[in-house]
Amino acid sequence: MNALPKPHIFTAADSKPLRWGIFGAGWISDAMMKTAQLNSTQQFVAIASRTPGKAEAFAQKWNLDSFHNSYEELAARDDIDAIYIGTLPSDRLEVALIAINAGKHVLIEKPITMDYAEAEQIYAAAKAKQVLAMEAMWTRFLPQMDIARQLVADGALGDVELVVSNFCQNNLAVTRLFTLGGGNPIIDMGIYPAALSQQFLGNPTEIHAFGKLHPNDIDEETHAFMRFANGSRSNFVLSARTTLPHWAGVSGSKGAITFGTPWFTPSSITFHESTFNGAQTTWVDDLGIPEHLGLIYQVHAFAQYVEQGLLEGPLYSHHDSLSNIKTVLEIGNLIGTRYK
Amino acid sequence: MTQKIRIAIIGAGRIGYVHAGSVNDTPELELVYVVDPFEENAKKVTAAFGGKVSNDPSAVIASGEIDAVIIGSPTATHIPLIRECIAHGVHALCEKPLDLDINNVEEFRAQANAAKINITLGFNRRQDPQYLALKAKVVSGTIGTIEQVILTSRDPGPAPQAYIAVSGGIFRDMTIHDFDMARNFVPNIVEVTAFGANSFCDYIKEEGDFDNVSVVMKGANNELVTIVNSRHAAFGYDQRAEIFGDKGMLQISNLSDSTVKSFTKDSTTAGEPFMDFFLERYADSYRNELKLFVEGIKTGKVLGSTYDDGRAALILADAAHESARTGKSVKVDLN
Repeated sequence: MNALPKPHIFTAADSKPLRWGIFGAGWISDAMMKTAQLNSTQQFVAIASRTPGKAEAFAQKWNLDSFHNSYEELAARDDIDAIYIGTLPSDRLEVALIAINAGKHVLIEKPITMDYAEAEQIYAAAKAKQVLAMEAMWTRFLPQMDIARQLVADGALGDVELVVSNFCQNNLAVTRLFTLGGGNPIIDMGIYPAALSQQFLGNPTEIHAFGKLHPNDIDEETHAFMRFANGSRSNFVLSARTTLPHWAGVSGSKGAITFGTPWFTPSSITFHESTFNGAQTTWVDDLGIPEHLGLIYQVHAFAQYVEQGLLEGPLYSHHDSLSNIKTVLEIGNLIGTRYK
Repeated sequence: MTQKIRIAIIGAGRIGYVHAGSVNDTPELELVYVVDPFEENAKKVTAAFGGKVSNDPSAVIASGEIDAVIIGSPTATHIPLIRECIAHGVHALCEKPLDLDINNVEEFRAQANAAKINITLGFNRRQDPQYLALKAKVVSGTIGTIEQVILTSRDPGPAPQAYIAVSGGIFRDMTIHDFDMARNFVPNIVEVTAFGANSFCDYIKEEGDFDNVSVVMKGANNELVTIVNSRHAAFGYDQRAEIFGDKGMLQISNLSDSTVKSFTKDSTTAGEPFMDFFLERYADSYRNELKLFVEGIKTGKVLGSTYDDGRAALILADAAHESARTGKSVKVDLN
């Protein structure tokens, strides 16, 4: 292969700008604002937070039109089309329903919830209200993932039968992850490798796992092994206490792809011939939107879906989202993690 | 007459009070210090049994005024205090559990086992007269080779939520006694399967703990040990054991304050309520445990439960905790 296919890139030009409000003034909302102002014409105009002072400080920092100390107040505004929800995982059902019931489209930070039934409830409410609801699985929308999907669709890999990944990042200092309701590493971080496997292989039919628990029984490290209906396999190591380069690979009968590190942020993709030391072809993401600035691709896709009148994101459907929540919850149960 | 062994009691809670009473009853011991962060607690003990009050265990261990300590302070202080005892040549009788984190236990193991002082673990039930008699029968071969051990321990009612929250979970807090008792008969256990359930207590569930557990364990010689625990029992403190071998069976059942039986129109052969709670039921065991500790100091041997017994019980508790959470059987190596 001389060169990898060109990626389809979700750009600001794909659709008319939506007017956005943000729920939650934490780290991820900050990251979203940064990339929105640098890389998009989408209009993020208002922030809401229940923590006194946080919304105002956030609005000042990002020069927003307005701030609200209540989600209901922001949701009630007629001049807002969509809400980006970056609150704590344990709050997301309640908070998402506030936005949905006010008729707003919702982009909900991952993990959408820490509970399968709650996730179902969010999607059902969004369908009933005829609004688009999408979990912010931003990795799916990165250019390198588009190249991967093209390679698979073109048959370059042959039959895809193996996905291996790791996400080992010492996050012991992130107290939220080891606090009940804060997401648990297996959900908050594990949703990435689970979604990667699901993208190429579908839903697992058999799961094995073992891990290491924190003293309070929240998971610290998970080794997961999955088998799929057609016999294909996947495994991942997910750790919030050790650090390794975040590597991922997908292999088929004819060839393989690996992603640069970290694989879940803009990096690179390499196609490998299946012969030993075979030829490699690499595409490097030099689009100037590195790391978490890559959050913006999903926003552009979202705006496009709204314009098309879609209620689900084709690249990350309700079914995809629910499947992955189900998978990570089950893996967590297998290692004995505590969710509440 | 030989010199008295000078004792400090660290931790003046209910168990500290019991130990102080035993010290007081033992002529060769002298209670010198009672240590507790809350002076009122310590004073209650010294008022009854004498001794000086302190709130600084390190100073007492280093004082040169004592020969041995009885450690009944919170679990997290156990290993640090034993470490100080080693440094100052003070013998230590330490309450269970040794620690809640097996890593701390493993890290300290070599030093503890090499120490010149006597380190005895407070697994008192082994020294209860009923269990001593049971053990004597097993050792004398009454029932032949052990094939099954069945231990039932049920508390009259659950400990308060604040206690449950820091207990390390039912396996490390309550079943730990049964793990040690299991090893009294089947020392080398190789596999643990446990189930946990929440049957009646909301706040225990809230703390992520179980109120109702069963454990099945396998010994290296194919013995099967079954432990049944509950955090409550309508009829009181339930402490029973059954050992089954190829030549017979041994049982011990609950004790009552008296052997009076009543016969009325509602019931016949009804006994008196069971002794409630562990301080009453196992009162003799605490005295025996102290006697063995003293005997051990004099002879230079650990005659009661050892540091490694404490370690083994915690390994089994951790395995049960893991098994109950994952639904898998867990292999263990107690060596």
